[in-house]
Amino acid sequence: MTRQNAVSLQIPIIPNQIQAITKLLNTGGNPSTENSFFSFEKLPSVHFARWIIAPKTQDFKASLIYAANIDGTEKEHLADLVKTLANELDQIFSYCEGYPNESSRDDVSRLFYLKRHVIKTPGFYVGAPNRSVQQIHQEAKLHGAIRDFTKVNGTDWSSKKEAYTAIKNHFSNDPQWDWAQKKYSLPKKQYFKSILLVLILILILPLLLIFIVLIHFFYELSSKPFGKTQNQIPLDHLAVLKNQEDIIYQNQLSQVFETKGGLRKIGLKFFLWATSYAARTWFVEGQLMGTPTIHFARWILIDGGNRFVFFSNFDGSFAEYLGDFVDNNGWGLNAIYGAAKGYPKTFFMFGGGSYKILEFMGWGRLTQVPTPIWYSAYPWYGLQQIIDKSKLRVELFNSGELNNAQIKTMLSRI
Amino acid sequence: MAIISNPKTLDLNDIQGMVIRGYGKLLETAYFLLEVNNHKDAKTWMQNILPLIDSADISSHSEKTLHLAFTPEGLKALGMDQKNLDNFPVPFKEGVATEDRSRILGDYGENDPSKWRWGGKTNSKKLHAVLILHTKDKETMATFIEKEKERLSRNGGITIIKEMKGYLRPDNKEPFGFHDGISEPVIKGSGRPGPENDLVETGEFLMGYKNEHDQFPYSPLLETNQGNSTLLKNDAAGSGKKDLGHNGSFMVFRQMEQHVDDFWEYMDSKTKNKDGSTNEEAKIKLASKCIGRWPSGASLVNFPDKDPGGSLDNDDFGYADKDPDGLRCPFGSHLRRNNPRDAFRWYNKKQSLKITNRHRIIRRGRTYEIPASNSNDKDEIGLHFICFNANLELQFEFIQHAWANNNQPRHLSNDIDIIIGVPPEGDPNNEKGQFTIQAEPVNQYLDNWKRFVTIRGGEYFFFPSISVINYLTTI
Repeated sequence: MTRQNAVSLQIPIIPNQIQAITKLLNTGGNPSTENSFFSFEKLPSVHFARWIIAPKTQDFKASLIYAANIDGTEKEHLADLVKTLANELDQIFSYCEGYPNESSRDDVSRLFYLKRHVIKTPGFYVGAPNRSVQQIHQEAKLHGAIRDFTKVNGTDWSSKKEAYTAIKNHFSNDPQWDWAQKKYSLPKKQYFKSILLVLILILILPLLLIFIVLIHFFYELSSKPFGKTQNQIPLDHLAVLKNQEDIIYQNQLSQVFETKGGLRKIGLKFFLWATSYAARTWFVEGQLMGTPTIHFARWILIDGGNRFVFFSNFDGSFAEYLGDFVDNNGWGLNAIYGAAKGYPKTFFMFGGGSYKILEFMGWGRLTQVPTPIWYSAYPWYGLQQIIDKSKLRVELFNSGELNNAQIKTMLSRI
Repeated sequence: MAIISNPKTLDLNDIQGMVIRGYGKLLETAYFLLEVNNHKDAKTWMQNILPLIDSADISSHSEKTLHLAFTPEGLKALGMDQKNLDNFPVPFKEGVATEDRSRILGDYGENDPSKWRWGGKTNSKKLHAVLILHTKDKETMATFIEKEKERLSRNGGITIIKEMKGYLRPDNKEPFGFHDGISEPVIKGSGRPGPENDLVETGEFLMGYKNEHDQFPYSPLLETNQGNSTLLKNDAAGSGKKDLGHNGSFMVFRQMEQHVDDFWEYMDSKTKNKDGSTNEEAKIKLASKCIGRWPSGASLVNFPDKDPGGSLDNDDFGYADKDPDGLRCPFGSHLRRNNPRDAFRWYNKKQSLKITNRHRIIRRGRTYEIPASNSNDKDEIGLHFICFNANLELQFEFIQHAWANNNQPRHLSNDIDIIIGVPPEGDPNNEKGQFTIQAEPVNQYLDNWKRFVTIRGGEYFFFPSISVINYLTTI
């Protein structure tokens, strides 16, 4: 079974080269295709990937950030990158600090450079866990074939059972679908581990309550929200972001935040840990607290935790995505993003904040940065469709004989 | 669901009538697209017509009504200070036809704004405002038009750059033959009773009131003092500034040509009898499944097998209890997609309704006809789609993008809203879009769709309160 992993890099940009590297990255493609400057398509184990620049501010230097969601290990991925896209890496890193001179560049030094800049990914969510890129494409193809078969033969079937039998027989006997009959099971909620998390939370509840009160008095009362809606932020900033949106079925979001200090930073680390833990044990069926459109999301800490970054790959538009979160779990957003400067004023940690939806969206835009290079291995697939196609395959080939209720569910997926 | 009372709390005399009233008895409509040439004269004209602008107060019922709405260029032409203009929301300021908005709305290919007759990128003439006229019949309309044209030409400060006409059929059927305009949200505080689930917070449609997020919608506030600002209300959200948006709304106006022959030919081709003859009943049923109601307006949920006929404008139904699997009203049907009621995704009823009601619009569309200009041409028929909302991004644009154009709602893959849906331009499977009819033992799939609707024009307008129109004459 494949487990998807996150690779994150932070690389300092040579201060006077920010413009030049921006120009280069802007040729990279959003979305990136086979003809783009940095063609991720050559790496079949990549689900989604991006290069962005965490901008220079008064307090922070500009950094290049790389994020990839991959099948296999970080080690394999970095080796793949060097092997396949060395020339492109050289071009990008020539604007970065400490990259070897042209004469001393080889695969070993390149790999060494990459490894040196790997950073941890403390917050990670996978919408459709345990599926490789190849599997996602295969299952989509299988679904299409089953649908075509049903289209042609559907009128001949008088009962669900007959339909099920006909479909199963047809596809079991065609060797091109042999892969689908190999043992595969969908990721399941891990009750024991999830209960453990709840127990931990209950155990530290008194601490958490004190923490919330401290946050209220020492942070919330003096917080300085940006207090702007999307209508009140510079149009040129908005235009750059919007030009990279709503092109394929999915969208990307890259945000860079400055972290509030002290307790807020500790709280952020804790909530990212808890989110990641719950993402691995509980939110494994395609929804993160009710939001069903996220393929991959991650939170990384940069600049010694004084800034943090959020990357998401999701279905639908910016407004739909942020709206979905507010509709379903605005309090969860508040717990994490309350640690970001400029966030709408929260109320005892979980209230307020994102529930002021227009201000929340304005804050979202103000902290958003362009994503000059962005890649999706399956740009036209919705997350729920990926999951549904896996379920169809599992129900048909990996579940023995189905009962009538199961057959009904299975047929409804076609 | 019960019809519940809805006490009147709004100052209906200040709200332009169309937001709250459908004018079902005033069947004739005309639209004058206007350009302001001279702001002084234009303001005199506005003063003159102010008493004729119909309010939402039913007691002031008139048989000839006017409504007035503006583009940002129109407000500028009247002399609005740039700082005050800057405070309007981005979609209104930029207009409907930006590149990113075209992607969201599906305005490409045949719908591309560069091909439109008016609005959007067709900048040959300056679209500043739209004057909407309603009357009960054609004769009254003819004299009304004549009179208002004469008033305009006498005034001289404003030119009509385009004149369009529309009408409402007495049975309220749109050109494809379906009873339209049934499901409308009822604005809280308007005094009109309505089905419980259709009663929506005022701030979803009018600025200056709380919306379904329990927040005030974004409203354009007066940044620099100009004109007689005592005519303006204070910002209800408490900024201390004057509010240009109070009791006003944003109006979306899109001219949608409907290819009625293609629509029915398609339905016919998919339902023919074995001998090749037309199966009238099956044809209508298929079309109804695609639309989401029977031609009479009867709901598929309550009448799954056959149109009960007559004219049923009953809107008092949900999907969650009677049709959770889409076997009666398909998930992908035009109406179920765009107003999922109490069954959004797999959420429970309460959550579904909460989300649905955050994305409602008030529709005031009417049919138009354009006779063929030469013998090769066909007569054109379609809809002057008009809707009102307080937040263009979270209402009109959201519905068009997330619900109508989304080819993968729920667990459907590559499914289209056959009426207004336009999947992403770059999708390699764009042409293979299909409509799924949930059925037993297996679903049915219909493909080879043509586009039955083409956008021919459109723009976003600010639809101010009556007191703000008065204010605009003083800037």
